[in-house]
Amino acid sequence: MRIKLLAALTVALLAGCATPPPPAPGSAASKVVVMGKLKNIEVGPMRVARENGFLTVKVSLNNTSSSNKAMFYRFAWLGNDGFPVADEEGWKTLTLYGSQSSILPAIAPVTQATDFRLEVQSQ
Amino acid sequence: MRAWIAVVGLACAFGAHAAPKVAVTDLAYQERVEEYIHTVSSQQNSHASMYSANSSSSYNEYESSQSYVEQTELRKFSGDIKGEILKTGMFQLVQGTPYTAKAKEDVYDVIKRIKNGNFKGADYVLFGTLSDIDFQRDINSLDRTDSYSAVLGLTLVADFSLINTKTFEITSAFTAMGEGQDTKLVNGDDVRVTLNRPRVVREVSKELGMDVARQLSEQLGQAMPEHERRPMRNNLPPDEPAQILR
Repeated sequence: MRIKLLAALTVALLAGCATPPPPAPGSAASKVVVMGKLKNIEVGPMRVARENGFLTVKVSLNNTSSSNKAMFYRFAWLGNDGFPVADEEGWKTLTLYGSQSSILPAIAPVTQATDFRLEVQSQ
Repeated sequence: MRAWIAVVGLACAFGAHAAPKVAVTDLAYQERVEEYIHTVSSQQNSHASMYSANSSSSYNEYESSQSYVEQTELRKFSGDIKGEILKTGMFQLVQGTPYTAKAKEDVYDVIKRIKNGNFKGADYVLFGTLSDIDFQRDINSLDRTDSYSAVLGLTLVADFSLINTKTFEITSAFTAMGEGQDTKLVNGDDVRVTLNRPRVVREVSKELGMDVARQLSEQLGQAMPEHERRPMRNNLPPDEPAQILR
């Protein structure tokens, strides 16, 4: 009986370790989608507001390494139903110098946007 | 017998509360038409023979310029006004005689038009005059991109008076505005961009109609339901304060 309990506990622990917990809904992490890999770049707090009817976003980024890093990003603008309300954006590049912190601003192209996802990848 | 009396009484009650009848005019406006005529004619004849020669020439130039004021009605924007008034249920609508080029009276002289019987059967006339209409076409660059936004906008402002056809009392008066715009994102690869003009006109008409119905209801003391009141600022969603996501 004790062995069975131990085995069940071990399996549960292993399962917990294998998948990291999903980010809390509404948090900054829940808005970021890493496509591929994102090395040495930290996505920090985000400022989200609606100004003149359009959703505006400012994302703070931090290069945690001492060398220059280039990253690619694009925003996906979503409506109330969670589906895109604007055409897919092209990828843009941003260079972060060693240990640089930067703010990435964006404005939704349509007023119907109520949510967004920041898609990122680095080289 | 009693039942019949009740039915007749009810019919009378409904008759007494029947909504008043309103005729909605098209938007009156006048414009200055200018004509410029410039005609030049010249002629030269010459004749020569062994013993004689003659020649003649003539030159005529005629120049005139005249301008006159043309009065008419803009017929494109009254459909939605009528529709929105019908939705409020405050009035019944009757069709008045439209103002045409053959009309003898002044388009702005609404009292004369009422007296001439242009709005037969109407208790009130909603008389609208065009204050201003303006098309805007702008191209704005978008920061951090190689794209531009092409915008076609139309704004229309009109002045309205609700006039009692019996007493000529003005029951309600206001200025209403309609705005509409079509926006397209373009870049250097786009050869030709055509903005949707009919859609802009429809938007303006719709907004104008809603604004007229809203102000009419407000001034006549019948407030509209909250969900039918729309902000006038291009129907943009209200601003929200900034929040920081962590």
